[in-house]
Amino acid sequence: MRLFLFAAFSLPFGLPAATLTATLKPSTVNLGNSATLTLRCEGGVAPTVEQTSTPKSLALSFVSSGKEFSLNNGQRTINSTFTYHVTPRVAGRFAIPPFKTMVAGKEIRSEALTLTVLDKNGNNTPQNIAKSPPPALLRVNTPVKKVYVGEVFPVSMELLAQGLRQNHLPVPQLITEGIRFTRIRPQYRQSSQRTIGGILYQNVFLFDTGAIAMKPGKLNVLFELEVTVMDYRQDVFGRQRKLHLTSDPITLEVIPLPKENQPENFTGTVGQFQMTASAKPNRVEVGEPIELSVTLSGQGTLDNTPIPDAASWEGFKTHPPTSEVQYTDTRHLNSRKTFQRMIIPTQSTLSHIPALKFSYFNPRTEKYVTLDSPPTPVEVAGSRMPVSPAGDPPGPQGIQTSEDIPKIRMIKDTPGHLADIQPPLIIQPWFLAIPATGLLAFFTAFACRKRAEYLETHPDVARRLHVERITRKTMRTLNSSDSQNDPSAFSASVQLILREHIGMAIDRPAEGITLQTMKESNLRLPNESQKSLERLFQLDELTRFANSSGKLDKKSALKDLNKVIGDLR
Amino acid sequence: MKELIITLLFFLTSPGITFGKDQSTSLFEAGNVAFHDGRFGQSLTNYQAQINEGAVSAPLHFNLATAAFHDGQLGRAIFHYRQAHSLDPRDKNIHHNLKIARDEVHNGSPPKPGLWQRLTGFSTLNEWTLIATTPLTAWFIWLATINIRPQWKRHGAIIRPLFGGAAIILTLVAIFTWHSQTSHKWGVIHGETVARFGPVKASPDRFKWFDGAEVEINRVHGEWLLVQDITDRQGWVHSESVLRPDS
Repeated sequence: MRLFLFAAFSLPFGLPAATLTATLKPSTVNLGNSATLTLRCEGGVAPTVEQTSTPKSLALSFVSSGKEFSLNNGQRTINSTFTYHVTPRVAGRFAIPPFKTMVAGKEIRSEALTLTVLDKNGNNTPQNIAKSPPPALLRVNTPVKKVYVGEVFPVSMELLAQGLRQNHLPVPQLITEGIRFTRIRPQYRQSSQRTIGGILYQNVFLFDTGAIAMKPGKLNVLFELEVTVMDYRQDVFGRQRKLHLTSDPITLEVIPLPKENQPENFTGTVGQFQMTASAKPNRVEVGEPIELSVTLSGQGTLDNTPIPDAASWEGFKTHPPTSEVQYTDTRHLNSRKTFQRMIIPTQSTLSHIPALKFSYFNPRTEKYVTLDSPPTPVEVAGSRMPVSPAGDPPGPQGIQTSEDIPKIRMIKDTPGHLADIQPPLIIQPWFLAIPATGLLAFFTAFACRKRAEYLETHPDVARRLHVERITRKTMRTLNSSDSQNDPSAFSASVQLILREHIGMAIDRPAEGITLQTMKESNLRLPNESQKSLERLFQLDELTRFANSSGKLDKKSALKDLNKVIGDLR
Repeated sequence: MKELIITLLFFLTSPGITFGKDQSTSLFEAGNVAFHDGRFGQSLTNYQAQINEGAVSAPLHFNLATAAFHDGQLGRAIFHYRQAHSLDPRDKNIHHNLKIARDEVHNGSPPKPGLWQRLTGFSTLNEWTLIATTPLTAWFIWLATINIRPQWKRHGAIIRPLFGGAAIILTLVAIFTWHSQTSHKWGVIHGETVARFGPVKASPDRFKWFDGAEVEINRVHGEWLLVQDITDRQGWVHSESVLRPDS
């Protein structure tokens, strides 16, 4: 009872007062477009709403109304909504007057709103005020007036500006729903300056692109752009201004695709296309993958076109395809799409890859066209591949449980000989030195043998080498101080060298050669050498028989010896 | 004497010798324990830690590969089976498991080894090197001896050139095997990987390689590899997606 009384008294105070709220979206529109005005009455039921005054240059058209029921903190509330289209007739800023309604016998009003309307040059002042040409213009042109849904068509856009003040060139954007560009950022080129209406536009940019109509109906195609330019109309030095440019509307009729004679496999592709298909390799065993490549090319967009399919893939396991789209022109009106798909034959009875079908609508002939790729011959060998219930090859777990398939062998208990991975022996210098040593030994032994054989067949060379060896050895003895202190040993060494050299010169054995022998041999020496030779023999005789060591001039003897040897050589 | 020769050959043909190295097998044993408990991920970690320490062996790679296989990592399994095979090419267990792992990936059609690999694959490169250099060195010494003692030339006059020819052929086999192994850079795709048209992440996708696809590495560009599979499909993949012997 207490609860009921509390609720009965508290209800009028607990309910919020009814409100009428107006919202306008968008608050800025281009001339020719409409904004949506929504009036929402909360906290009460509003049967209707009405304007408090009639706005100038604005047309308000009622669109719809509705009611919403909602529960808020256990209380049931009713909200009413009224929607209008607001269409401006000229550019400028306009006030949308408040609306009023009666709720529970009480009048409530909405707030007034402001709508900004921009003309095609981005100005929000009425055209009769803006008399001089604008500092920037956006012009759009397309050669077509009528297209099919999904058909691509060229669009050329032109931006003319006085002293463009932007680091990055802005791209005109489509503001009409149901149509899209073929490329997000169209290619542009700069043109020479141009004079229009007495205004010199230094910056002229041309944008070449394509567009695709997405939904049927009559469309007013509009483009917009925001640029920052220098405005010289009111200030001779110019004033930087940010302009919102809108193109003149282009009327385009978008025709829906005909329903009659539409192929079953038609996926919405419009244009004129060719199809090629190939498979590699064409000789495989069961279970080996074949790469199927399909290429579609022609005039039109293939962005959303799926891979042409076969009527049936029986006997093949197919994988999802991959694709790549390339464009053959700057406007992206002509395209080529390449699909790659891996297919795996599961039977050896297969003789070809099934024919592929692709259908498109040709807007020129206004007819549907179906392309067929011929069946690609393929040779499949081997036995039939086991197929798992899911159609995929068995996974690792399947292998372990299946009795038909060999089981994987278990791990090893010991790690074996753990060692660092090192370069192979074949490139390790220490190892290569082993056969290299053998090779060196072979070459050395070979050279020694050849030398011995040579000396055997050339005794004169052998004797010369022998004499030179004895001379080197004995000269070392003669130059030593010990030898020079012993006159007899000194003289014997000198005689040894002399005999060896004279013997080689007169081709006789070195033993027993004397001055007399030499004279008899008719060996001719220069006079000075002859005298030196005689002095050396005299020295020998003096040393041996007269023991005249005190008078021995070893320096002079060595000089004589070198002179004789030099001449004998 | 025979035991000494066998021991010497064993040390020479091992992948590397670390005299005095602490050959602790605790990580290996921990990996085995984890494997038998069914904790394949943990056993993988232990085996990999043992490999990261630098000391490896064919059984270690084999166990890691088997753990990876049970863990569902086919690419890693194939890679380590191949590593084990290169260290011990005559182990039948490695052959057996590698075939099973390859069958999982290639549906029964593993990549066929080349002719040279089939002819020489039953021995390691170090074994081929020893097989070649031993008769070659002996032949050189024999030639040196008959040059020093020409009177011994008549002994083995028929066998000597045959022996020398065989030694030279074996040497050429070892050289070609080494060349084949160093010029053939292989890898295994680890996890499903997208092959791209170019060596940048922004490059469009070309196709996908499944985990365990065995590829040849044709080019290296920074962190990207241009790889090719047995069906001659070629694409750029990030190096993290490819297990390589030198990585």
